[in-house]
Amino acid sequence: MSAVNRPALQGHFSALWREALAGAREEGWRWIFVAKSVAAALAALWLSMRFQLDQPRLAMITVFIVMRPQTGMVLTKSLYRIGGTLTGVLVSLLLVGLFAQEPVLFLTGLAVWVGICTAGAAFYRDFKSYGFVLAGYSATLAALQAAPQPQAAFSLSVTRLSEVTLGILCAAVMSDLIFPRRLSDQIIRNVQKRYADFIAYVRVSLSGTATRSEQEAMHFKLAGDVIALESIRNAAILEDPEVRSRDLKLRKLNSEFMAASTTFYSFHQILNRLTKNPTPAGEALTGIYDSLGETLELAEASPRSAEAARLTARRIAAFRALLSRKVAAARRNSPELSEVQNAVDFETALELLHRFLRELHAYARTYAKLPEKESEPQPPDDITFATHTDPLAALLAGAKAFVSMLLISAFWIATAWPYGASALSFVAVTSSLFGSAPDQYRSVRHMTMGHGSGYVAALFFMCFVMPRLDGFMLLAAALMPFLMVGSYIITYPQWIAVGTGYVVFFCAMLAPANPMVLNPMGTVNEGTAALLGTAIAGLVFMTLVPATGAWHKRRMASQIRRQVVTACFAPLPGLVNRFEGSTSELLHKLDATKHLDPNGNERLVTWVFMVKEIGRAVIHLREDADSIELPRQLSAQLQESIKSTAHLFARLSLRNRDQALDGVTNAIDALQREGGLASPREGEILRRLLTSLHLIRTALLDDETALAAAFGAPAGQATEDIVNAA
Amino acid sequence: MPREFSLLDALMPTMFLAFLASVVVQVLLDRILGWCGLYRHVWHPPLFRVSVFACIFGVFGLFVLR
Repeated sequence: MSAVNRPALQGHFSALWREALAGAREEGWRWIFVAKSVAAALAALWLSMRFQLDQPRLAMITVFIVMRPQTGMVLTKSLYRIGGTLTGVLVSLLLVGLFAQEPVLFLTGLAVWVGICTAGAAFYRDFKSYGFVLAGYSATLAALQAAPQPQAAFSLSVTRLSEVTLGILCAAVMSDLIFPRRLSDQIIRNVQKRYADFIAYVRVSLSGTATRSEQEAMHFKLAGDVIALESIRNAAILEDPEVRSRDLKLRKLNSEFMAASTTFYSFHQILNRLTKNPTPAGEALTGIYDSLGETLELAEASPRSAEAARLTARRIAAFRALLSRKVAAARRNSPELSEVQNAVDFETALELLHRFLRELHAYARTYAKLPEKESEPQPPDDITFATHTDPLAALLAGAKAFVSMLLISAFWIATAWPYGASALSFVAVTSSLFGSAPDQYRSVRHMTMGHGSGYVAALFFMCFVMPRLDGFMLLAAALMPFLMVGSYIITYPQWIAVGTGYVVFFCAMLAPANPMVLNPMGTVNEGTAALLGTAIAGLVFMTLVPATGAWHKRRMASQIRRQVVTACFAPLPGLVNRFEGSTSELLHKLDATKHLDPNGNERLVTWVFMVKEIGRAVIHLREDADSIELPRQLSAQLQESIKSTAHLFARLSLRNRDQALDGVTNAIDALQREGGLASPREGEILRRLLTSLHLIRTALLDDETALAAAFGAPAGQATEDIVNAA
Repeated sequence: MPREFSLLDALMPTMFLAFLASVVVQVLLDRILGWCGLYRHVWHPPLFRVSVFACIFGVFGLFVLR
């Protein structure tokens, strides 16, 4: 019988095997991560018991907090964790030294410190923000532990630092040695995917099949990718020296990408305006850019390797050569193009197209060069990625943390609550985390979920599992499934807060120690106090000046518009980069809170696009104006137009809009008067100045932008002008 | 060498200094080796790094504890 069944059985097994392989390829890294983090946590637990440290749980918690699937993230996060803990511990020593006998001053001091750190955490991004979070709550935890026994404060702090360092060493060694997952691989994947996405986006928009919302979604995604690459790049620097040598190229890639995508957006906008009503310029352009789609189609087919990108770069260069011939032909064929108004429209669109091709070419070239090792000495560069955070909103987050700390402290002092310290610790931990989260509502929800489930699991473990355990091996074996659940959840990026909250709360409540203390009643009391702390912090963050409230929206809108003011007046070197970086970040922030208020968000997003278009045009205008000596009167007119534009975006009103329009129109007139009597090189720059001004003017006149939505379409003479101008 | 030293009247193990010193040496060595391109010929660079660190720390430890 076995002889008959063997082939069938074999087939069955090989099918199963293939299934398992496929599953492993998808899910394998998650399980490797789970195994690694549980092993690191148990190693930390064993070592700290062996070294007879006071709180082995701290080492375990540290492992879970710094453990991330990518090795570089672990190393960087560890560095910041050590720094943050050190600062926190020093501050706690200071507070204990000053106010150990004075509860009111002591707790107020703590609240102020947590408030400051939360504000810092909300102001900075990524790991810097994390360092602030840690400095805030480490100080609270250490100070609350040391306050009842000020004599021992120093040795307690030293032990705390040793526990944290032990946890970090375990996590770092484990994640770096066993199946490391390199950030550099992720960078390559990110860069490749973005290249393909962008080319596809350009092609779809040129073919005119994309709807407005699709385009916006695409822009959100591109902005998200830019931010993601930036934070991975920051984390990867510690990981390996190869990345360090490629760092400049990656930064260049990011900035070129942002520049190209904004230019393309402007080009697409002007194209839309020109083709909405049939204009000679629009018709001529449609014929010209058609073949661009074909060029890019070939580019999109195989952008996976650097070799392909090099080909694309060459093809784009060829298209640029072809373009000038096509333009000459178009000029010959349609005599209407020589009329002043049409000529300006045509020139502007062409200039944008040229600039876009230039930037796309540069982007493809840098992309192609990425795998090469840096050979030539690196030139000094000003490609820094500016982060943009609203200082006032950050201060507000700090104030919220301060208020929640004060609430719990007042309750503690008034009622002489024995578990006030637990509640206060968790207020400090959660409010600094809430403050730094992009979407505070989600963060509150997830954190509460994580802490609640950790609490239930810890109680279950303490009542039913713990009494039967004897010795470390059994403890480790029993802990394993509980910890694995948490670290498996951590592998899903959207659930990180739940997973971390669960594991941290579980370890904190369980408090494995040597000798082990079994005290379920104490755990219930402490756990309830801690949950109460989390809930109070959550309530304060959700209700006190909520993130969906009118204040935040107004503030966000004015921050977005302020970008134009920056573009008008900030010092020029590196300005394009800073401008692009911070608008991308604003867009990314809007994306994170999109689901909270779709309508309000939509309005803000249209503002961002408008600001992108006008801001870039202003920057180019300023750069070109600085590059040559202009006649005094013309230069004054240009300054006037820049100033009135900035004025409009600083304070939105109908009068300011008209003034801005007047300023720009006057500058255009002055330029056109000047245009005839210039040398070829100057003529070229004057032409570019004209196109920048024209771009600003059409954007101000357009009746589909956020500006028009705020005031209604431009009045009287302007409405008929727009058909002509745009 | 003494096993402990006094830092602002707090006793610290001398091994801690040895640890810090080996971290510094390791970082310098890592830069130099990375610059030479040695890591491209190593099977498992992190393992190599940790082993080098263990050697350095061991040498310093022997000096301190002997």
